[in-house]
Amino acid sequence: MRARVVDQIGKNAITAEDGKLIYSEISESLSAGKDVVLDFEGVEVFASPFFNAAIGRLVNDFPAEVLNSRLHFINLCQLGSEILSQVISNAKEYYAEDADKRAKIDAIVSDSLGRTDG
Amino acid sequence: MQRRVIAKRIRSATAVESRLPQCPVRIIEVPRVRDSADFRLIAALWSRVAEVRPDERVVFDFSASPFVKPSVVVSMAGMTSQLARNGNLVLFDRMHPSVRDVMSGLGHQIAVNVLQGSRPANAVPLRVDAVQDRDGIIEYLRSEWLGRSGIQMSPLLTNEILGQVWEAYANAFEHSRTPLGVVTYGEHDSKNSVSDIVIADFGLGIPAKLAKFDARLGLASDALRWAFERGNTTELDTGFPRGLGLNLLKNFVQKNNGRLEVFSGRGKVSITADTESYDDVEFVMPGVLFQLRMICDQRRYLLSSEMTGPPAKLF
Repeated sequence: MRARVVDQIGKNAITAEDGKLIYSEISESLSAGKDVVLDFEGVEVFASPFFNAAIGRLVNDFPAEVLNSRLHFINLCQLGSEILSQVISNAKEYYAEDADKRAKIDAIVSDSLGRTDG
Repeated sequence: MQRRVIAKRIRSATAVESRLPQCPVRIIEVPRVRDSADFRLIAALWSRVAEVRPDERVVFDFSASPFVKPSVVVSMAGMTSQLARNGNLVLFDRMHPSVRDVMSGLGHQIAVNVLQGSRPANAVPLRVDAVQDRDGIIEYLRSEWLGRSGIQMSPLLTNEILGQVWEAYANAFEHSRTPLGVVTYGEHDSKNSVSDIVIADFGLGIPAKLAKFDARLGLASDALRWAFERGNTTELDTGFPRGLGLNLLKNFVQKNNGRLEVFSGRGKVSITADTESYDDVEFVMPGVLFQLRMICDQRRYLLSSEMTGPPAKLF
C-alpha cells in the first residue's frame, strides 16, 4: 500500500486526530501482510501529536522486525524524521513499562481526574 | 495637571454610567505590564476580577496603559470571557487608539474617552479558538505572525517554527477544556529580528491537574518540571504514547536561542539557550500562558534543509 499523506490529511501533519486516520490504514495493511509506504511529499508542518497517534502505537502492535522491513517513509524532511525518531524512541520506553504499573497508573488517572476538569 | 486628570476621569466614568442601565459599577484599572517581571500585576488583575459580583457591570480602565503587551491581551480575553459567562456587562474605557484597535477584537463595547496615542507596530491580530482549527491556526501563524514580521525566512524554517509552536497549542487544546478555548496574540520587532507570541488557555492549569495525578507533584515548580520532561503525560488512557510536545518545544527553543516562559498556577518556567528554571511564584496565573520569543534570523538557526529521510532501522 502506498499512501500520500497530503492527500489524506493535508499539508499540516500535526494533530492526533489525523494521526489516527493514518494509523488505521497502516495497521490494516500490515495486519494483512502488506508492505506500507508513507509518502510525505507536500506535507509542510510536523508535530508530535500526529506521529504519536499514527506511528507510536504501532510499536505495541507489531514486532520491530515487521515495522523495519515493511513500513517505509519517503519524502520526509529532516525535521519530520527527527520528530518521528523521537516519537518512536518515546513509544518504546512507554510500552516497555511494566504492564501492571501502567494498569495501576491508568486506574489512578481514571479515578482522580474524571472528565470534568479544565 | 493632577486636577485636570481627575476631572477628566470623573467625566469619563459619568459619561459611561449615563449610558448604562442602573446597576453598580466596578472600575478595574488595567496596569502597565512591560515584561514577564510584571506578571504579578496580571495575577492581581485576575484577583480583582474574582471579586466581581454578578450584579455589577465592569469597566476596565486603560488610562495607565498606553500599550498592551500580548500577555495582557490574552489574559483580558480570559477575564472578559469569564465575566460574560457570569452575566456581567463588560466595558473598556479610556484607551489609546492603538489599545482600542487591539482590544476591539474581544468584541466588547468600547466606551468613551479614547486618549491620544500611536498605532501598535507589528501587532498580530487577536485570535480566539473555541475548537481546534488546525489549518486555520497554522495559516494565521504563518501569515499574521511570521509572514508580517518583515523578516526573511526560508519556507523550511517557517514550517519548523510553526510545528514547534503547534506543540503549545496541542497542549492547550488537550488540557484546557473551557468554553473559551485558546487565545493567541503577538507582536513582532523587525528591527531586532524577534517575534513574540502568547498562547493561553484558562483551564485548570498544569500544577492543579498534576496535583490530582500524583500527590508528590504538590509544588507548582515540580509539576511544571515534570510536564516538560520527555514522556510524561496525564493522558494515559488514549491508546497511544504521548508526553513529547513540551519537551520538544523546550529543546527547540534552547537550540535556537529563543525564549520560552510559561506561567500556570503558582508556577513559572523560564527557558533560554543558557537557562532552564522552574520556580514557584507568589501569585496565581489561571490556566496556562505560554510566552514564546523566536529569533527570526535564518542565520541563527540550525538548518533542517537536508532531505535525508529517516534511517533504515527506525524501530
